[in-house]
Amino acid sequence: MLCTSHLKDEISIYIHVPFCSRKCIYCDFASTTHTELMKDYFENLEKEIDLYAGELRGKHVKTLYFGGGTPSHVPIKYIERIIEKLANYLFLNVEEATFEFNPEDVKHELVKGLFEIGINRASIGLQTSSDDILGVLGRPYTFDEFRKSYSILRESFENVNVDLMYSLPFEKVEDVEQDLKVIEELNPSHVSFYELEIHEEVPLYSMIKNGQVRLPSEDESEVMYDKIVEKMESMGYERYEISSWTKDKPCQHNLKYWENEEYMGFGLSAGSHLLHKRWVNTTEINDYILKVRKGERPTVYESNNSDFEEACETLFMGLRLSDGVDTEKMKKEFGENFEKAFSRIKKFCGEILECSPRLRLTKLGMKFSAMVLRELA
Amino acid sequence: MFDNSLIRNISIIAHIDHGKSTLADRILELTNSVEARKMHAQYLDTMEIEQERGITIKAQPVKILYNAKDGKAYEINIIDTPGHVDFSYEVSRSLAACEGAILLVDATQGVEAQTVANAYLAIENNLEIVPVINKIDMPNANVEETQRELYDTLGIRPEETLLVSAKTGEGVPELMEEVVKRIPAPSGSPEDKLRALIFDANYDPYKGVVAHVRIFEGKLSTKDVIEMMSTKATHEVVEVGIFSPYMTPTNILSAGEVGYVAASMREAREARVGDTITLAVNPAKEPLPGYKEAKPVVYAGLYPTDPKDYEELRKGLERFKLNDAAFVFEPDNSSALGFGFRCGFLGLLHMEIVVERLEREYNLDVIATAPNVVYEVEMNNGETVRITDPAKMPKEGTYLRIREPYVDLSIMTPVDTMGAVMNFIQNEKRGEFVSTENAGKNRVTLNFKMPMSEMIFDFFDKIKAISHGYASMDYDFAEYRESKLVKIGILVNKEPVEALSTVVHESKAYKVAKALVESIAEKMPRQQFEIPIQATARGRIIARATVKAYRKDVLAKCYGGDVTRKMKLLKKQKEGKKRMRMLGNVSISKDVFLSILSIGKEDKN
Ligand code: SF4
Repeated sequence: MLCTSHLKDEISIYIHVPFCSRKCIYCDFASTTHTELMKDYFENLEKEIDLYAGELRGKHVKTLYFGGGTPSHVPIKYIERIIEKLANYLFLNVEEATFEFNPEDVKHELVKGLFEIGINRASIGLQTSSDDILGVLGRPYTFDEFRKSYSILRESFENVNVDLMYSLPFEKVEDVEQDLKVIEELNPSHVSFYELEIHEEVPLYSMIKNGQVRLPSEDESEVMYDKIVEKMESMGYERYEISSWTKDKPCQHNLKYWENEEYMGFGLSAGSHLLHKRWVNTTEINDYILKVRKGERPTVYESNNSDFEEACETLFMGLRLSDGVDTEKMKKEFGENFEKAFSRIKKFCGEILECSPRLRLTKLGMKFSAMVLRELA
Repeated sequence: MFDNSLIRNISIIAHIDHGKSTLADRILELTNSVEARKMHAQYLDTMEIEQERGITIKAQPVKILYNAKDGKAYEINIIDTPGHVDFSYEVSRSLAACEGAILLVDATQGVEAQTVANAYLAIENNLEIVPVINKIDMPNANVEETQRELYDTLGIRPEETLLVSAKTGEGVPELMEEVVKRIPAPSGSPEDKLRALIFDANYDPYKGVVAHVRIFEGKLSTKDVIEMMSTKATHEVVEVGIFSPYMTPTNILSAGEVGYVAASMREAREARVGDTITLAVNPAKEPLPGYKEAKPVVYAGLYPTDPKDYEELRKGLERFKLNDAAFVFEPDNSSALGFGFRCGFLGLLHMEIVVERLEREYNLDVIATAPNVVYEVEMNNGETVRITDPAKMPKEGTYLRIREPYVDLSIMTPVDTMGAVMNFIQNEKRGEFVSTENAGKNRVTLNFKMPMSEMIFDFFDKIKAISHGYASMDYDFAEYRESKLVKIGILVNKEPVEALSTVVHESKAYKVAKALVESIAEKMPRQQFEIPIQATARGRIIARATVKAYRKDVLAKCYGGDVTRKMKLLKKQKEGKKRMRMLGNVSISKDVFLSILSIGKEDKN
């Protein structure tokens, strides 16, 4: 009982920092290299928070996440100001405050400063340990530089996540094996492994189309996937979500997403979920600044989810977790809407989907997650 | 009455890029043909796409007046020729309408195979040739070598050649003088029985099919009743006229003149290129020589991507046919593709042009199946059938023999690539070497006979690659020859998919079958179960590949802000899957379906 009542005054906060030193060729995140917009952007970000005063006031923040783009690419004063602004409305008794870094920005001073203002978890994007592939991707650091940055982070933070990707341009299975060796050696508490997804708007897409870049075949990519799953486990990591492994504890903030809890995101492209409402901000920085300046909420998508939609989304996100969702709890919460949503994926029960007592993807099923989740979309 | 001796009917023979348009423009400028220049510029605009791709569709003929140094004004008709090898018959008819031709060669690129072939066509038609070397202003012009190539390939002596720069205009006035001097005036008499050659036709929404004609003998006026000598069909003339440069009605066209005839004809085949027009009341005895019925040599299926566009496609094809007598089509259907049409073309490029124009001008999205040649099958009962669709190849044992079309192929290539070209044509393409000739200092012309089907896949690009881009080629249908051919059928998950069957030479059956099943398997998305892809020939399975079960399908990343986007993306994918196509009993997405159907289709871009 205690649990649910205080849940309602709890909220997770996400802040999007859309600046990067250089644009990666596969990037489809809201990010820009126009640092001259920084001042304007953060001013308006503060204003955006004001626009939601009503929703925020009096809530307790348990998790806070600065993502990007590259949060480490902006002067720390902006971050401080955002935290102060949040503190105007919210109780910041934060258990987990994550900050995303790119290797090229990691400096002692910045890291210490962040630690002092309450950041207690770092996430750093390595993506691959192959310098050649980093070059192809347009990422401005070498593996050696990453290693230095990583150790700087470790001086201040115990809880460090390393982001990696596989199925990258020109990547071979050996490259992935090398990445896994690196993990073994650095021993970060948390690791995310993503398969590279290629969206039509990004430069990489046309490079592949016109044959400049070769991607691993489906077969090779599958071998990579199998290697990662197997090796991470043997190194003692627990895979608690499709792309997330931990030796310590799951990322509390991301867990809120996957459990379809309530959160609010501020800044470019940020999404929020509150009281069955979902909204998403614009991904255009100019659009964002202009709207907020006028006192408008900068959303491009708003939806009042029906119970059925809510049930589908809860399943959609929850099935990403190794523990899946609690069938009984879902039944209680959504009733027949749960049954309706569940009926869409019932056909996978068995090899792909474990259907009781909890509803969750099997180890094999994780490999075909999109096939199952597609049915809920 | 116009004086015959002041008429000159000419064509310009040139390879793409050798400056034909620039020269034409310069001539129009020199003769003060303002309207004609405007039209030419427009024509160039509309044909931009064709030109980008190195195809030139024909321009309308144009009549200009040239004041020569002898004080007389000459009427010069310039008749354009289509620029691609698939249209060699049309080229020959355009040339037949002329007494002479300017043979234009680029001094920086030298003589090309197609130019030689067209020059031969001109010589066969008794045309007087005025050889012209263009682009002499360019720093890399090599006049001497070009002259040598002209001598080697066509026996043209260096002193006969004129040197011009169409760009700067240098040498163009001299050229015009030579045209008037060297090219004879037309000779026929207006008093003889009418014989007019149709060298082109176009469709005009008001006038119907308009035949472009050259009058050889006799005269032709409005209200005359004409007879098409190949079909004996008669029509009453509604309008005759000249191209000056737009279609301008006149009362009469006389021997020697070039103009047009409109006679309420509704279909392109009523005015066939090469046919002779005579008068119904007083017909000529013999038609002009050289008429051939344009027979399609390459067939392919055209299907609407969206089945509901079937009617639209049919309308498009019909309208298309109005302008193009060589194009044929008939309704067809396939279990994989639904309802569509089996279409015949003069060649691969003709096919590409048709598909592209259907898409561009009629806004249709079409699926073209891999093209095939027309086979002749002699059945057990002695009957000969033409097979235009490999899927319809008769069963083993029901026929005596199959014949396939061969082409005369000539390839001009640098001497140092000769061995590689020979090897490729003879060992990989079943070609037979016929002869070789010099074609300039370091170049040879290689002549082959080769099955036409070998040109369909993996040919043009390979030749270009082998010759480092230098080879140029020309080909023409030669004959049908008996051949040991087999049909390869494809089974997807044990179900035959006729749309994927193909006919190949026995010696290549295994290789082709293996390549086919492997590329299909590679393109097939993995399903929930294993799928065998098999190739059969003569009732046996000769190759097999397997599509593995399951395809890794990881939804990689998904956080808060992403939920909506990810769900939308997946929803789109899901909807895409609903519009699945069936291949055998396996459903696959449209994209995959299209890419499987186009396996082996060569991209000539
Ligand atoms: S660092 Fe991340 S957000 Fe920035 S450009 Fe690269 S992929 Fe995009």
